Amino acid sequence: MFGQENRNDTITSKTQNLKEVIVSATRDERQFSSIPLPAVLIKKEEIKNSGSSRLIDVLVEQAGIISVPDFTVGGEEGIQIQGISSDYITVLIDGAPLIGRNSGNFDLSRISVNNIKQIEVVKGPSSSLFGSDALGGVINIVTNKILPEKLSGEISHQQGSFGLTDSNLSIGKKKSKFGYSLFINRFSTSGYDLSSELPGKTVDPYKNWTLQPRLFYDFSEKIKLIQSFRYFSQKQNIYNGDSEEEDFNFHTLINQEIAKNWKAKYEIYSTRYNAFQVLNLSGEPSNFEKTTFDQKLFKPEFRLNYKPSSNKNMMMGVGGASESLERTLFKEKVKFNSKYAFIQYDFFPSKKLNLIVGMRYDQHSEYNSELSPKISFKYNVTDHLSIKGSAGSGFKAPDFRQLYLDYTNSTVGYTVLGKTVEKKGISLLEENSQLLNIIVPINDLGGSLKAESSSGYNFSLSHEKKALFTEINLFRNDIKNLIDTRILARKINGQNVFGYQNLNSIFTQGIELSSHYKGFKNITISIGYQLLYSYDKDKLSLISKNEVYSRDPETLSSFLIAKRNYFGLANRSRHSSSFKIFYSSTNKKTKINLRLNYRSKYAMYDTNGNDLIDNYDSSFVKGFSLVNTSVTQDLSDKLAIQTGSRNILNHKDASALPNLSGRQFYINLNYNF
Amino acid sequence: MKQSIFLSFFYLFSLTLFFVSCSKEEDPEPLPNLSNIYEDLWAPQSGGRGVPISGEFTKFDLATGQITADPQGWDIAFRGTTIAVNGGAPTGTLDEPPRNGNGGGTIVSGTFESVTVAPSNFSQDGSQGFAIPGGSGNGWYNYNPQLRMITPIPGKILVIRTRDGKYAKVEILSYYKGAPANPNPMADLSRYYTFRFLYNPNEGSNSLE
Repeated sequence: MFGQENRNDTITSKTQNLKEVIVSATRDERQFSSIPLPAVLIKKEEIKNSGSSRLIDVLVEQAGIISVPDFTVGGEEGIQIQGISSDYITVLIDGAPLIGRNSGNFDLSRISVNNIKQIEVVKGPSSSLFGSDALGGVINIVTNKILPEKLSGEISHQQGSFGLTDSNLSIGKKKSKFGYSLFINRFSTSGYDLSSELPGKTVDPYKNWTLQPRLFYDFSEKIKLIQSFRYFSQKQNIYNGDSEEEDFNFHTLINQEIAKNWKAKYEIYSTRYNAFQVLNLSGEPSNFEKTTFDQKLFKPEFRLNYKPSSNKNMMMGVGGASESLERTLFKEKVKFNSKYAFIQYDFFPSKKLNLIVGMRYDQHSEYNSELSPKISFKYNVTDHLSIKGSAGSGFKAPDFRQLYLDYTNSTVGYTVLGKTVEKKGISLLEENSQLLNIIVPINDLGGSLKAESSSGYNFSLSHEKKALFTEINLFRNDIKNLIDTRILARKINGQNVFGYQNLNSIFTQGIELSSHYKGFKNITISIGYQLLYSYDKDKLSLISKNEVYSRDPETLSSFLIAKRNYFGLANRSRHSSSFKIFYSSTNKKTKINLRLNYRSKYAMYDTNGNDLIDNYDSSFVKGFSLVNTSVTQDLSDKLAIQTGSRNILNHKDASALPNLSGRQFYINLNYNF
Repeated sequence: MKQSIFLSFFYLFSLTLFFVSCSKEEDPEPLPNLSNIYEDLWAPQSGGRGVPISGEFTKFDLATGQITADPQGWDIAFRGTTIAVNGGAPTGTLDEPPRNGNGGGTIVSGTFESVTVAPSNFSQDGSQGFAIPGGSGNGWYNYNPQLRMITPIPGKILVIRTRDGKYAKVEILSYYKGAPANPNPMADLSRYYTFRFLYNPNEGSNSLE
């Protein structure tokens, strides 16, 4: 982030590889190449060379990570890792979780990644360390904690098509005991419109600010404080209304060396996310619809590290979380409380074998307790070849919506009730003679929802010799107790009353392949590929019992479908791949790159009424490629200019990919001081 | 040596992964000739959005295969997504046709061809609801709230006992005018039933072949 660090080369040497560390895999610094878990490390250098400034843009260039547009709100984007959607992936900044999943998906475009050290993605269940929601993996944004003695910093400005402006300032210094840093980002876009016949734009114009001041203070050689604050604010002029969101994070971390080989970490994190939307649907000034969403989280944690030798590391932690949410569709403000404890032991039973075993226990005020164990190993067969494997479990607590929603659709007339209000809600509807008949008996209502839980397995082989690195990873994730809606009763208007219930079991499995070659003098090539199969187990069993039919698109007649006609879960592509080529001139002043991402066809939803995606559905989206490129030229030691294009093939699809604007050009100036 | 064999395998496997592509899709299974298709039966309704649903049902006579205005000469009747049979008691909804026969209805899973015999257990309309249940996923259709689209559930065959005790089977093919293969709920007109049916005129025979 500061000064000379930017002058690094993209072609990292082996010694630099050894210096690469990852913290999300074990919650302690660990050499990246040695960890026994499937993970991706995206360094600041790569982010800078790519000209990307939003978290989503950086993530989707990784093979097997796919962006998924959220259809409920224009412009919001989530992702998929190993076929698991972002509802099940925790997003952290320096280990502290971000909140504000307005509709389940987390909007990753709201996070600026201009001022970071690296992004770490750990695939597979990580609840043994991070608790709820880390069922499919974690994304951790790691900021830089090493500051120069002399005040230095960076100013950059990017200007691009669709009214893109992205300005950044970051400064910092640390002398003896006291240090500080500040990051400011302003981002704006005028949005874009992919379908002129629909009212409004596909993505409406918005602007946002990120403000991130931090203080560093060393009480002594042994006690060190980092105080971080982050404020994010966004305003969007949506069709017929306005939308605003705000995000505050307040993170205190104290590192203490309490004795030889013993370290303690005290952490207090509080965060608040609130969103506000006003819609004027009828055009009359008096008739507007206001929705609010206000979520708070307070989370203290204590961790203890015992490192008796360089290859033994024991970590223990306890913590708690208190969470509340107030939103328009809830009757009242709701609160959750939870407590947890975890332990992990990272050791080498023999010179060639590394084992990490860990588990975490979560106790929650609203649902059943969860125990999440995890074990992983890495065995170095030779100097060049190693085997890795991991097995772990993860969970996702029922969310506030699934527990407390009380909503009746005003146009169609159906009702959705959260688990804790369903009994009361049905009784009330019955008393008011709103029900035609009751499908689930009232006495069976109002039980508790179980957490959705997963188990994940990864097994990989990696080989590195000279300039070529290749890794193959086989993965399988089983998720059970998925929470879905079921019909509780039928109303006299012919519509249903829905409630939430633990219903489905799904799995995702496949193969990931990644390889890079650094053998050419100025060029690095990397490729990635993911083969993915994802199915609902209950649907598979219905198909094998010959109970699922489809409709012939020509004659409209029903016919029985076979397993081979079942395409799998919505929004999942069988194949996805990435290809990247980075060039750096010998004097390292000129850098050019080309990055391609491909995903094969997928379906958005069922269209022929059988509630699953089969080959006869009409919502398939053809396979497509996105290509990005950029050129960076250093004009002096301090000044660099960059120009590039995103989506250079100009791929657009208004209904399937509302998150994708057309081809975008940009120019970027960067000044270090 | 052993290791190099292993490695060649490893890289070969990696390469194969790159070049193996998805398998060819199968063609839909052949379907038999269709007969007796009634197209675009219009089943309008009024009300909704907080106002009780009302409006006359569109009545259908399975023996003639035509719409009928005869208050006694009908077997099934349509209004919006609701389907009534000519048997049982009033359900309590507004403007429902009086039942004067001994009709009934039930839903059987299968293809139109595979349902060859009428079952013995029929439901009738009554205060507990319609013989052919309404609501998404309960009876003959699924409703997609995002798309606001009604889709007949494939493999749901309505077996009807007519007002005079004969049997018929009905497969609803579309709820949109012109029975488009991919209806657009924003543009295509709804409440237009296209259905395929087979009526057995023989007294006492429950065959539906």
